[in-house]
Amino acid sequence: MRHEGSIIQICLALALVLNILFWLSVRDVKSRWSNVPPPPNIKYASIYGLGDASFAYRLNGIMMQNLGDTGGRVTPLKDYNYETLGRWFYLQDSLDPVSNFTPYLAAYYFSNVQKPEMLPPLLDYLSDIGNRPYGEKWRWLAQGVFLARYQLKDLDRALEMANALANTKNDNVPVWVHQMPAFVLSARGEKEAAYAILLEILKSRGEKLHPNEVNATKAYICTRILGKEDAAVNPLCESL
Amino acid sequence: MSLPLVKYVLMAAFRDRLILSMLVIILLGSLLSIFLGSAAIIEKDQFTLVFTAAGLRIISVLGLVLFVIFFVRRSFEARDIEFLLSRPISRLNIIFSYGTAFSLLAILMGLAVGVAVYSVAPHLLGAGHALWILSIIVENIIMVNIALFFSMYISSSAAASLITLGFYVLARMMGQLLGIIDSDLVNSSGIYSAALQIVSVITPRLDLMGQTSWLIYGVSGDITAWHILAQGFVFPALVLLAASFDFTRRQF
Repeated sequence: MRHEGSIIQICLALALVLNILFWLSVRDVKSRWSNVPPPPNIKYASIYGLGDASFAYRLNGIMMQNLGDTGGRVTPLKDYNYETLGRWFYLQDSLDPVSNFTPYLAAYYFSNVQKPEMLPPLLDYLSDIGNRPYGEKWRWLAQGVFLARYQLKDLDRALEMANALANTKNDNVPVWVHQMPAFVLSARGEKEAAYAILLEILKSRGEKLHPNEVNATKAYICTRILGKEDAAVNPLCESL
Repeated sequence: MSLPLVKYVLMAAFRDRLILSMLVIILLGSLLSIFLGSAAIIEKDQFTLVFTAAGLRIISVLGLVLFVIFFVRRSFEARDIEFLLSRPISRLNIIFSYGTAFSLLAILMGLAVGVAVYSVAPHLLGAGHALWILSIIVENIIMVNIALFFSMYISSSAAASLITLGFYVLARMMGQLLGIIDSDLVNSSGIYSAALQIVSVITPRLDLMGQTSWLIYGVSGDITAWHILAQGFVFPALVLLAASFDFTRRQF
């Protein structure tokens, strides 16, 4: 009996030593992040929420928000695979097309990537979401215009999105939504086209606009589009 | 149905601290969901609501199924069933009394989960909540009766629990599986598709129940209270009668 007890004690000590050795060997080993994982097929995506699409959307949402930044690890956005990330955005859209969580992540978090040339998949997504007629989805197009113009510096893409924004089906949008193509055209140097758009807005909607909006539009025309000589002879600029 | 037997099962649930432990788990689950939801950068309340609802839905089924199976198996092993059979009570009465008592527990648990879901985001209360809670109650009723059925047939508690929970997962995903065989991706006339079609006939469509999107956006689509109540009637009836079929022929 005593002999058995001694054997157990020795074995226990040995097991403890083995545990310590194992701990020493794996202490600094950490799971490696293998970049953005491929998204599941859209057709089966709700299986991840056991058939509940909204639950799957929220689980994926938290995962995407913390992607690459778990376990004390921080990954710069430029190291993410934005093509795969773009497919996750569309997967999320298929699970919940109404929520603004994923568009928000795309427009305000993932858009801060250090290499703006990685933005096109994200802009494609914002462009598609922004064209939805319900809610205030047009705001994602506006954010897309900003990203294309100031981050990506692709004025063609910005103009394409600005035109889509101006044609939004929502009646309750501010006037700058319709003026957006003019702003981008002005940045492209197409001053005459920008002038024509803004003038048309003043003619067709001027009476419905708040005086401040009218004055702001006139000021933009007279200071940003027209040169000093042209502004001096333009009757629109007289009242400024 | 025997009222004393129903009371006996309900008392056993209280004695086993099922109610107390489930309430504690519901509270902890809600707190964990609030924590997870607050980590989201926007729509925090929607995240909390969805995590609470989806999490407690699974927890309540898990707790009820384990209680039912271990209670029934213990009744056999402790010879409670044989004692009951020696009394002037029919075998059918025993099954239906057990089914009624477990269903009452399922209703109680569904209501407790409903209160928790309401409490984490009361300002999001809408018509969808009523249908969601109704569907969770019906889902719980279906699952306790399925658990009763498997525990009557299978003598091992662990095996009965695993089979019942496997059946639950299958029932939750049945809509997706039927969608796959209806798509062009697989041969819909093949043997596997045919087998799945047959299995789907005797599997409840729990994917039509408890959609958390109802809690946020309200009820939309083709699912109505009628679909939920109809399932709540046909499947418990099927499994209770199937359990009775075996039980009435068994020799003790």
